[in-house]
Amino acid sequence: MQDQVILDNLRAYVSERILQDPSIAIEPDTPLLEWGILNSIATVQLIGFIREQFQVDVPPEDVVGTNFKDLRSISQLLVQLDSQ
Amino acid sequence: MSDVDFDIGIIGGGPAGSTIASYLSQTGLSCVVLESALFPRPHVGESLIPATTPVLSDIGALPKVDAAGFPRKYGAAWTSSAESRIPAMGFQLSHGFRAAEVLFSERDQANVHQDYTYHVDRGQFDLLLLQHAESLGATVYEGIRVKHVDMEDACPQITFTLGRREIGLRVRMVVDASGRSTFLGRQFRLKVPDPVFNQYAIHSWFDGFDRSALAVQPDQANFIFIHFLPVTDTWVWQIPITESVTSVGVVTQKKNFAAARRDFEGFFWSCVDSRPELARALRQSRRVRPFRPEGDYSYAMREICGDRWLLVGDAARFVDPIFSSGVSVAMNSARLASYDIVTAAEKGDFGKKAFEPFESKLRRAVRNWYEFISIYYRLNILFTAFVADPRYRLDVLKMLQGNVYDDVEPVALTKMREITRQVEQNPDHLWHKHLGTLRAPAQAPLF
Repeated sequence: MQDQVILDNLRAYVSERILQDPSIAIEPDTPLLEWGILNSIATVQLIGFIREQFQVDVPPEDVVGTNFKDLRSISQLLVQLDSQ
Repeated sequence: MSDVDFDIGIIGGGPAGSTIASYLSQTGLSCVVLESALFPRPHVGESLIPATTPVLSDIGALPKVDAAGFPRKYGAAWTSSAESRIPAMGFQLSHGFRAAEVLFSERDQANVHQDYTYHVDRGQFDLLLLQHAESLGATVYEGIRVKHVDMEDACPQITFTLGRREIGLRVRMVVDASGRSTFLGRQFRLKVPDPVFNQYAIHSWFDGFDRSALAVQPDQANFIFIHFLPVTDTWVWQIPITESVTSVGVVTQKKNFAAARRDFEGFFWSCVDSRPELARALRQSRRVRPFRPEGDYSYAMREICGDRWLLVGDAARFVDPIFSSGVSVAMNSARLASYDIVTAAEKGDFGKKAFEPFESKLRRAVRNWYEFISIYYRLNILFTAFVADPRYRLDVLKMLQGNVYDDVEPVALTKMREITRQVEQNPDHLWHKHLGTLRAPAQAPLF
């Protein structure tokens, strides 16, 4: 999988489905947790989206702050999980 | 034979008592049901789960229940205060709002041929079942308060007063279906309060409440709704009773309630006000019953059967009602007990050994319920995640349907326990701060 494709997919999901406002710019380093964009329910939904979209299961031990702090970290996690 | 008045003496005429009386009367055993109240009487625990359906069908009561016009229950939905901060999604995605709702029809269940169960006015439902037991040949005495059971002789004697007279009935065995008053549990000193699920409920009925106020889709309005409140370990049930009447109750930890100084009404509203959209809808409706508290919420019994006696339903065990398991445990424990009682009657031996199959199945079920509920309170976001995950969804649904008697341990339960442990041990886990204060204890059933 290409990093950019993953990043774009995640960005679209977060802005359209979680924020429901495509006009808000989410950058790869926008702090999703700090800003409260990703709350607990949203994380569950995002993990479900990742499973459906990329066929990648995020194991529970990886659901940690360092992996979900921004879009770049999440896509790095996916690339790493996908290569395993 | 004339050495006894009845084969089986049953204390209590709620769903557990009338179900066991129905099963046993069908096989020709003579049963007497001693009920302290005059039916119909109000009772909490109004939402059923599909595991009650095969039992109702076995005893021939399903057509009567279906014809009685109770609201049909097709599914369950959960809402949380965290969720309401996210704007309504408007999408139907498997990982969207469906994360917190299930339809019973998603999973086929053995011997269940309808995709709904019921929400019931327990006054009417319990009366219907008791009359049904009577129609099958059981003798029913209402307004009878049992004083004592003498187990010394080969035939137990049940003593009660009628007017000023004291009357003794001799039976071959005693079934305690006395519900939370736990008649034999108290007499035999078997009862152990559960220190973990130290919960309290305050509830009432409301007329004209808009049940769709917090539903994502209007056709879910007849689901049971569980609304989580921001107060830790506190939730609200929303159960349709008739077209316009809804049962609403707040369940909280006893210490929260004690702090409210037993002001039922004030405490109820202070809880509900933490979910403004719920409070708004509720204030626009009319309360039609006084607020009622339910305390002494959870307990265990050291034994659930012995020579010539056994306990069914709430008399055997009571756990938190979050998954509407009460009537199902009552009816299914009665079903399982009746199999053993019939065998015991054939052999003419009602010794404890005869009830071992009942005991082990109930132990398994209670352990599964108990652990499922413990995990749920500890980390309810995990429950949401499992319902949303296609790998576990049906397995979780199986528990929600009430099929907990056969598996030693459902797969989802093992997995959920594992993840809970990881979240507990890792402060950096995104769900760590969502851990509830209730901890799953090491021991579950005591019998």
